[in-house]
Amino acid sequence: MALRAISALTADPDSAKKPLKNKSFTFSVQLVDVKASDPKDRNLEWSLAAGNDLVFSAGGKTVTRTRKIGATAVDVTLNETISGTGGDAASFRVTLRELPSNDLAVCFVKLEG
Amino acid sequence: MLWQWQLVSLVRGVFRRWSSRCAVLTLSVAIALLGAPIVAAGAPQGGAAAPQDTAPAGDGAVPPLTGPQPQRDTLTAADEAPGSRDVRVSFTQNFISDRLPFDVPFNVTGSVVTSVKRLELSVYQVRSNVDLARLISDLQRTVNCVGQQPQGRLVSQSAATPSDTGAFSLFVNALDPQYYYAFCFVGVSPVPGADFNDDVRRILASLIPRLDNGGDITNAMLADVRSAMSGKIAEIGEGRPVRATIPPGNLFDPARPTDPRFGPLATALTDPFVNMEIQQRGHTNSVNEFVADVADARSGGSVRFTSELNAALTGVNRTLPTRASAVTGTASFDSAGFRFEDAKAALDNAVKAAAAGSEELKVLNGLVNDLQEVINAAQTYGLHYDRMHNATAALINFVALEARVVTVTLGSSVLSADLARSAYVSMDAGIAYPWRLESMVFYAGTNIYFRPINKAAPLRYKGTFLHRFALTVGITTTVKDDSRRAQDLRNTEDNDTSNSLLLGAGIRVTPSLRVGGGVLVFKESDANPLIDQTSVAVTPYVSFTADVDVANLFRSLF
Repeated sequence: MALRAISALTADPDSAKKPLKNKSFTFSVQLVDVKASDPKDRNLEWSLAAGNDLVFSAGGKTVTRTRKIGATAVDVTLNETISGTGGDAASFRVTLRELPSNDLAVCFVKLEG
Repeated sequence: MLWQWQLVSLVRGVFRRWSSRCAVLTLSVAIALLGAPIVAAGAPQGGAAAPQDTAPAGDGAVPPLTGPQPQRDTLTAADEAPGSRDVRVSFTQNFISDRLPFDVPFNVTGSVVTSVKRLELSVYQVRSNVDLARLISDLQRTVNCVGQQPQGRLVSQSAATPSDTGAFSLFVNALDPQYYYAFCFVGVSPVPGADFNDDVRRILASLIPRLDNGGDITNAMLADVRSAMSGKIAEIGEGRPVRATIPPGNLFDPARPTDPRFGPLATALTDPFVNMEIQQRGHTNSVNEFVADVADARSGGSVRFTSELNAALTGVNRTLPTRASAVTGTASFDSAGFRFEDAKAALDNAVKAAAAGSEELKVLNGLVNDLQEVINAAQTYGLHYDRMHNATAALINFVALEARVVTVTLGSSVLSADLARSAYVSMDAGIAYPWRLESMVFYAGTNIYFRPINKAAPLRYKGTFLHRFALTVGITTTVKDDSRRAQDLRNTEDNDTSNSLLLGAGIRVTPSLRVGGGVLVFKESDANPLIDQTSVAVTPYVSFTADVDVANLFRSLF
């Protein structure tokens, strides 16, 4: 049984000005596990790349959420704030994976300035 | 009115003599003294309209010098009314027929083929130490008529967009007289995208992986990829039969280290590129699982594999198109081809045929889910494939090359012998105040310049010392001063006029007015009335005069 993303992972907004000060983002994606007989809890981790100083509101590089997902596609969203200068990044990378290690989708948020 | 009559009489007298002896002598001496380059004046002349032509030659070969026809060289048409006359250029002749105006700006005009969308002009002054052939050769090896500092002095640059019919008019700064000039034209024509898009797509496909290092897209990565693309695109232009370059201001203009437009375009490419890898991995796993489950079903014997079902399932392990093909290809993802409708229908039929609650139905339902996972993975891959394909098209739109055809033609501001005389020498008339004599005198004189003078050129614009300064040789009206016993130096045979000599120099303060000074040469009788002898004496003078338009004066006098 495997969870899969069946849409692109999108960020709203898809760009922001440096530096980020508790900048609010909404990340959305459709997930499904066609072989699951019943919806079940999935541990989803959203992570920021290690090469910059951006962090989520709790101060970490990752946030984890649990969502119940089965054979019917589910819209999964994450509302989070991000802070940091962004360093030399022109676009920062956000990766969604199902723990422990199944990468589902990636998106890039453009940084201006 | 008296002074006007005196002046006219004086001028008439002067011209009568000059027509026979003085003028020829004076002017010959003056020109000899100045060392005017009149020998060169016969060189670049022309007058017959040159056929206006086609595009500049593009093969880089130096065309043979084509000899224009002799021209009527007058100041009035070419120089005296700035902007009133354009200099026609024909690319079929590499010597401009008309003498170039000097000291005033002007336009060169002509026509090019309509595919030329921009025409650039660089004008080089060719000094005596410049090897002309080498200069032409150097310029024709460039793509912008500048290259690496060709010989000659760059004196004018301009650019224009030809009209729909190919007619153009290009501005040229005021040029110095008595020089040859190399006119270097660059005809700029856009290269059709179809000529290079395939190559650019291949280049892009090879460079995108550099933007995925597992982390962010950094500015350094963008600069690296943009620079690499710029270099490769420039190489494409270099390799064309007619050299082409990336237009200034283009996204890949190598003159600029970065371009803010590139980041979003590169991100739009990298995002699907990274996601396609994830989806491809998922697709591979799903296909492997499907194939394994089908194999298990076969070996288990619970499912009846009809020939129809076998045929339908065979195509499910179809390979996805590569990520690179989303960039290099021109087609979108074959979404229908990866929906596996036949396999789905065959499995659905098998499910319907299977007995309820049977092992066969359970296995078949598992295969249906396996297939759906394969389809989901393929379709999601296709979603990103099309995103990448569209992002590629958006970026390709920014890629441009311009073919640059360089053509060099020569022009000359060297004056013809006749014109040189009137350009170096002018007449003026006015009043002089001799320092130690009782009265002022009227005089007419010849001004000898050390460079050709175009009186139409404003002194404020072209007003160097040599534009203003001239030596003056003049002849005065009657000099009488009883207190100094002054007499005319020379009387005419019929005694209707009499003259003394005036030698000096002057400065033009306006295009036609001059102040001057020098010495007045006159005869002086001896102070002893018993001695009937005269001697030549001089006295300083200051003068205020107006330049005389020789041509108009002649017309009015004769």
